[in-house]
Amino acid sequence: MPDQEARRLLSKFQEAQQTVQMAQGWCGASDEDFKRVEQLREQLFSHPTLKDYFQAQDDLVSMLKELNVFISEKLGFDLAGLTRPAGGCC
Amino acid sequence: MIDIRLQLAAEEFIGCVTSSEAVKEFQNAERAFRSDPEITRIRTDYVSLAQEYQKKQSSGGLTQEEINRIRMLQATLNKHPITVRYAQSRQTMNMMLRDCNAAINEVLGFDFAATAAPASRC
Repeated sequence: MPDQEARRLLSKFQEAQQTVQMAQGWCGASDEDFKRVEQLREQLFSHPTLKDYFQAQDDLVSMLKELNVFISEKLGFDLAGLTRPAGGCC
Repeated sequence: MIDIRLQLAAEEFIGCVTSSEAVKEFQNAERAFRSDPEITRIRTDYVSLAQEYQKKQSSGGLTQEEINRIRMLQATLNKHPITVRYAQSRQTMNMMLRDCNAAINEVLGFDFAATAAPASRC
């Protein structure tokens, strides 16, 4: 059963973060905006469901990175580095 | 430490990748590129000229003739059949590996390479 409160909190945080990022583009982000994002981040990381979710995500990413190192060492080149989608810088 | 089952699956994947024609051809082409005396000479000449010209450029003393000379060396290297084979085999191998990644992603439901790659530097 999805945790509706966790989902709401996560989308509120993402929305606030996007707003600040957009405002930063034209130097329009205020201290108040940053404070709001920070507060939401704190709430996010103290929410039990989201805390577990982020932890699981971190564990998965670490395991995949480790797996890539294992494979890349044997292949002689960085498999994930070579095959990841090309992304823009910054 | 990765799970033993995952390690075995990874070993199998590595075996399939290394025994593929695309990787074998790339390894052969790379070996030829690194060991060919003519290619080595052109690359050495290119590097030493580039270093020399870089110093000259900062003092504004680089002539058109010198620019043409380094461009010609670069073109000779790029058009050399061994370089062409090396570049083409690398491209073919990359395409094959991207297909592998796409197949993995379909099963996982997310991009393995994008998640597992080391952070890129701009």
